[in-house]
Amino acid sequence: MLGGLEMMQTCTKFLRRVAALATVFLVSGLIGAQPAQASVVRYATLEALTDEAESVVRGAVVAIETRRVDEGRRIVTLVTVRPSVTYKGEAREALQVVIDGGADGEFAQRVQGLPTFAEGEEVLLFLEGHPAPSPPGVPDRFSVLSMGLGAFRIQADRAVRLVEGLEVITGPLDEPRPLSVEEREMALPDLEARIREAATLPGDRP
Amino acid sequence: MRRALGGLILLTAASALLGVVAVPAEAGAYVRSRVPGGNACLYWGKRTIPWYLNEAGSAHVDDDSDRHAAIASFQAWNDPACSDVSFELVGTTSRRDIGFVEGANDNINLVVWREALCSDVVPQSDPCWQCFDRGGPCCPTAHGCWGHTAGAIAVTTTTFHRSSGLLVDADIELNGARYHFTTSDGPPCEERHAAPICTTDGDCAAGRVCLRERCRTEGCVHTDIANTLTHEVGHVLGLDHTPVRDATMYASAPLGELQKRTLHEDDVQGLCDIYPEGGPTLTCLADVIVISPLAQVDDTPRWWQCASAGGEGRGGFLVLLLLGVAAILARRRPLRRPHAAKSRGVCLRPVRKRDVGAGRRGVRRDAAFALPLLLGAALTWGDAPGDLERWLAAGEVVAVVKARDEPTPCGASGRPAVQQTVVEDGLMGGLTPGPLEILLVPGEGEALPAGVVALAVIRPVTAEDGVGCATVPGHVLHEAAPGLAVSPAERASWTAYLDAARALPAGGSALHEARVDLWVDALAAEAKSLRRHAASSLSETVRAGALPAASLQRLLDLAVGPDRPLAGRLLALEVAGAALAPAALGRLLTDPKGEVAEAAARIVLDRAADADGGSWLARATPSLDAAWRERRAEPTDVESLLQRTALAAALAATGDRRGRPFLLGALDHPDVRIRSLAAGGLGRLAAAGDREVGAVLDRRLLVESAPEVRSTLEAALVAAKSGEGGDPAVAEGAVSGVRMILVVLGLVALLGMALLPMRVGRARPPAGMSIR
Repeated sequence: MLGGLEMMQTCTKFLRRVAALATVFLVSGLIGAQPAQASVVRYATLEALTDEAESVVRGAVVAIETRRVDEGRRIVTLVTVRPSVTYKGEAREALQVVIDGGADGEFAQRVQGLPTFAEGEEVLLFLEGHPAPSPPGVPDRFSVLSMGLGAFRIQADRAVRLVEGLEVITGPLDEPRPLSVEEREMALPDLEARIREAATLPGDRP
Repeated sequence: MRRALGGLILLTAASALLGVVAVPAEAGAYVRSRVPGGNACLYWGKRTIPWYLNEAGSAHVDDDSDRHAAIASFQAWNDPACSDVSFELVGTTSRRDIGFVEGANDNINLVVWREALCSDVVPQSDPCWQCFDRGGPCCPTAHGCWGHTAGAIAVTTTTFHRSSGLLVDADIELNGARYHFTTSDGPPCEERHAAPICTTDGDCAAGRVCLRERCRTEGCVHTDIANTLTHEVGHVLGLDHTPVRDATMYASAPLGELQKRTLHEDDVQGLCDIYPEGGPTLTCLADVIVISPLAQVDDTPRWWQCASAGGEGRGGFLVLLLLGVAAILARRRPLRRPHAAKSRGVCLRPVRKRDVGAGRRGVRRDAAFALPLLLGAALTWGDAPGDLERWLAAGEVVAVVKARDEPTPCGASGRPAVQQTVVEDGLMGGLTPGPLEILLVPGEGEALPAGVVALAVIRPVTAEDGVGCATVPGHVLHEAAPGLAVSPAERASWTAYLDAARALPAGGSALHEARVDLWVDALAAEAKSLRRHAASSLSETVRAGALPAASLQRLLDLAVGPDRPLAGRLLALEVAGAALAPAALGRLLTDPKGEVAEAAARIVLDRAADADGGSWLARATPSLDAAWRERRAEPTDVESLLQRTALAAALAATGDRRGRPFLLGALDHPDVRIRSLAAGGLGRLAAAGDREVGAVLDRRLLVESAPEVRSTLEAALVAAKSGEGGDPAVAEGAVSGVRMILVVLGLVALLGMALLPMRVGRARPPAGMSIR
């Protein structure tokens, strides 16, 4: 009797999982296609990105603020990140990443190819210093290097590149192409190891 | 367990079915761009999309071919006859700002090259770097430099409505700082890094030139402008990357590729499906709606039409099927649009269920709710989407409605009152064969009086009560908010309604007239954003030559009405100033509000600068003359000074120099508006040949700091130097001198002619010749 109950529970659990998967599939089916990909950047390896970046950090998004700038014409999003690991650059308690685009009221503005973030998520970012000095009390400002190429979302032990809306040019012949699966997603330990190595051995890389 | 199993089967089946319809096949495989994180497709609400090209073009192209290439890129999308989308190049512009301001009428879709990185050319001390915190223009706008990451070639910035995906602006920036743009049809340039480094052409071998610090074959294709832009323009239209390899909208473009300059049939299919010639724009709004049978009200024909997203017949069936099944399974409250609850009483108030119960009653209700969905699914299965469906798929339309009778109780007592209404026009281009009867569910005291015709937003929702009295609530714009005293909370939705009205095709219909009237009224709205929005729509209408005569008269009445709101008057002048009767000018130029006088003066100055403005100015002269003669005491306050300057400037625009001393004095006034107007008026005198005034303007330019005054001064000096006219006295003297010379020459000629025969007569013939 007990065995029968256990079997039924196991079966129910299995069915729930399948149902959850089916729901995910249903939702993704409803959501449909990906957003437009219209911006093109030159491809850079992780090593080159590390070399070029002023700072490489992993941390949590703790605040997101949108502002109208350029006399109201443009929307920018200021993403505050609290680094937990600094692979390169000065260790900071917090930093602010400037992303063009965002939503303000009924309108949204999107610069294709730039990453978007959500509060609470963990990210790994290759950053270039933003020339705009931060006002007093505001963390140092940065931009993401090479648009979405320099931004990863950490999901468990995987790092997923935020290249929605981005095409890259690879190699000497400048052929724009979408990123391969391997370039889009990688194991976090591998990614971290490559960054650490590149950060300790800076050099002139392609 | 049984529930879980049932749910699983249904969900899996639904997923499989939906997956089948959601994955695009190779044939007709174009993909649409969507709102990030949402399901709404991006689309334009209008078919004519104006765009501007920054006047600098590409620094890498010496001739005009960059401009031609850009035009050709947009034209490629204009060409297919199955679509009436039309990109129109309005002209070149010195503007280099990208983005969008809600309600402003100076938003433009811009293509601009940036030839230097901001980080290279803008010092860190420049205030543009602090635009985030202190306002003012950011560096790309202030200096025209590339503000994105250096490795990017082209970046497109789009602005759209988050809820609907309606595009309102798109700008394309091209990175000339790091990439070399070409327009030639030659072979691909050599690989970037292998080519020899150079600083001048002399460093390169014969037949090669130094481009972007590398020796390359002359005329080779590096980053082809048309190839890049044609692809980008597809994105601007709302198309995403397609899996079809040869299509323009395929993601990859090898170096030197030219193929994407022209459209593939997959690109054309996408264009024409979304923006069909004469048909409604295909959006992806996933409203499932039911227009109910009217049996509870009378015996008029019944509509049992259901529709769903995307206009895909089978997809619609599946969504309906799923929703119907879900409605039965879920046993919960019927679908309710979230924004319906937020709307004010006048609109979208869902029917209040007074008989909502639990248990068996609830199940009956749900089943009844699901029934029309399932029935609709059955009716739509296998059919191509009908016109009505396509309209319904749009989710929300603006229409002219006519109230047929007073609100009538719908069905049994206890149910809400409904109003039988006739949609007279506006069904997205006459998709239905005739007027359509619908039921509006007005809130308390919000019903239309019988017989009233009004412009309304019809936003379909699902049936609430589910007993055959399904509803199509309406938002009656024109009648509901006299004076458009819209609360801040409602502005976003009103803006959306104005957008919807704007999206409808122009024409001579009742709908068009009604919406233009709405815009005219909105010019006087309390909310600035609504005023600007309406002004923008009206400006477009005027440019398209589609302003009804009655609306023009209303605009002009608004402009000249001293008791009307100032902001509305100024906008009316801005929109319809060109159509202003010259006789009305004197009245406007002596308006107690200096800003009105200023706006009127600018109209006159614009006309003076216009080559065809001569006769108009001539007709304006008596009115201006009378106004000048009637001037009262010398102005002392800024308002009166502005008014007087406006009048003097307008007078100068007609060539009348009586206001000259006043304008010369006003040129030093601390108020920028006064200085600017004075510069404009004096500029006309300088253009007419007044050299003394020209010299004054020249000197003023050296010390003037206000950009708007400086630009006016510069324009005036250019006009003066280009010799539009001449000093009358000098010109008269010159004419007299020429006449004198001509007279002398004539006399000499006559004398010569008189003497010549005498000399011939005396001449002896050469030997061997005889004169007979």
